[in-house]
Amino acid sequence: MRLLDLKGRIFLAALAVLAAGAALLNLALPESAALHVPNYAVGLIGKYLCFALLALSVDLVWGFAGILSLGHGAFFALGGYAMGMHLMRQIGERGVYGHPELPDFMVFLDWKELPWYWHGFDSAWFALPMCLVVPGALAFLFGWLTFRSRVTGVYLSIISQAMTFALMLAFFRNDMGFGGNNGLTDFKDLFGLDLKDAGMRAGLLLASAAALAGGYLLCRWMTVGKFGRVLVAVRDAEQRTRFLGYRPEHYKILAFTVSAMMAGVAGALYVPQVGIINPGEFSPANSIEIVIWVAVGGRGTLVGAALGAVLVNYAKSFLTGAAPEMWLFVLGGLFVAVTLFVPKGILGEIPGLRARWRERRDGHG
Amino acid sequence: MAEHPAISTAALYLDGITVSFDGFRALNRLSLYLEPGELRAVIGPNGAGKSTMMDVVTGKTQPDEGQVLLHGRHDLTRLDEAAIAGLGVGRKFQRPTVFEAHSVFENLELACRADRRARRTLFARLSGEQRERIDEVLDLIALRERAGDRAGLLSHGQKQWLEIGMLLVQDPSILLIDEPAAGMTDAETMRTARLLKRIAGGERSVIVVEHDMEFVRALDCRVTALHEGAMLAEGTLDAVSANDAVIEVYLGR
Repeated sequence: MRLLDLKGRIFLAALAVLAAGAALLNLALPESAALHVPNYAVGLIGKYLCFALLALSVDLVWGFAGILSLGHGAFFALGGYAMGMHLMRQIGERGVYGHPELPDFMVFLDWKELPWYWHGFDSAWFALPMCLVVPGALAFLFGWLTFRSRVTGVYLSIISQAMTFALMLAFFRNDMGFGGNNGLTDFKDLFGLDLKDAGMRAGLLLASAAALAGGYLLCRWMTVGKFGRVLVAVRDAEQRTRFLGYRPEHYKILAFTVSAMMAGVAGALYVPQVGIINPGEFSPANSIEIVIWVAVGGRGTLVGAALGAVLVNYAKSFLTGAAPEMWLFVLGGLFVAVTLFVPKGILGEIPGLRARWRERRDGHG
Repeated sequence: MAEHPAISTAALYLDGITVSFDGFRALNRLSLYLEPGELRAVIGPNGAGKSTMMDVVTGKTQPDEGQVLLHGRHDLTRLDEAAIAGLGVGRKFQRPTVFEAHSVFENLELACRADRRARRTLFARLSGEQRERIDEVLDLIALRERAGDRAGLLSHGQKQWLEIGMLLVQDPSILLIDEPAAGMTDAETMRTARLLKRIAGGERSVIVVEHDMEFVRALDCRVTALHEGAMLAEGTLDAVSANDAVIEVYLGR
């Protein structure tokens, strides 16, 4: 199989048109123009693209290696926190309390000096790699402890859910040094550029699109070759791959770690676009929602996962505006409906539909 | 049994193997001698010790007594499963398990001899040599035309052949095959017999455990009859079927 099939090319082309188009129509046209894309829409699209990257990361482990992670929101949030820490340090003396080094919430808690783990985050050269390293390290540790002990299926899902729940409780605590339940916010600028600036917003949108495209290519590369075939073999018959001499746990750890790093990048791009990161991002419901995006779009199809993330989040934006109390019912209903009627997801059903159409055309129907 | 003059030339030599589970003797001082290139059928009623014998050879079960010599050099009772597989002892289980989502070709590719480590696999490319080997095996198991089809679409018999093929691409010197004809149609059974006869030979020995006497007859090879963990009779199928002890076990009591 080739790295870029027709589906992939359409996806990347559509992504490029969407991101470049939105950025251009936002920057180049005056606000009065009919085709002008408003600032909030640029931010919204950027946010969707981050979710799409997050969905891709879940599809890599769930769709191909059969690891149903119900804790991927944690990796997303950790990437977000790493970026948030950098943005906090960028505020400098412009905080409410004007402290040159300590973020506002630390001054408020009457802390005298920066905790050791906040050091280095003033430099982008340190903070940006951390957006990958922290989630990647946690995923490696998690995988090392679970996959080697041959924890699979529901048990693994529950443990991953417990992991994100534990992190949420920890991050809610003020003395953890991550701003407690308020999280990190009031960001001013990134790379010396004002986050509210239209150019900056467009730049973040384009960066999110590029990250999504890169993440997609990485996932494709990992899944079209022999490595991907071993992953699928592990998903379908783990014991059999062991008899063939493979060590499934190594394949799982590698895929899981890469996936967590992708989720971390998504979180890091998400935070400057929404302007806040708080422990709510660790909530177990968030992680379950990601799985629903992937299920809706089509597990194991990559493009479908990205598409599912955008569609479900578009529906969420619309519904939480129109009828906020309905959203969770709709989400739950959606999951049930997809499981019952489109078990392979939107994109997963296409090959079957095509085959049926061909059969009917050839007169076997 | 008479002592064989050339134990060091035996492909596989089981010497006085005893295995007990909680006092029950699954194998009772079983000895068996397999020549290089030999095809051997092992028959016997349920509980005769056929599967335990395979477990001992492949390292799944440690015998209480006796040793298993591979090519007169390696004592398999001292090695674990992975090491024994690495020495070229392949085992096919009764129920076929192939990777259903993958094509026939890809199934064989995954079984090919290659570096199995995750990072190496990430950059792995199929070598011309491996491709040739897969093509050879595809011809042997008569699945060349189905090479591109998903393994899940194969018939039960074809899955069994594919799984045998997955062992063959690894070039094993000893193949242990557990009831390959179970659940097959008559035509498939006969084709399987032909396949196994073609596989054995040269340096490769094959042991087949089977219940189906028609199938064993089609294999046309030396037969070992087991009973209560020990050898009851050995020889041609006709000789074994005419053996009084065998008749006693199968028909009597």
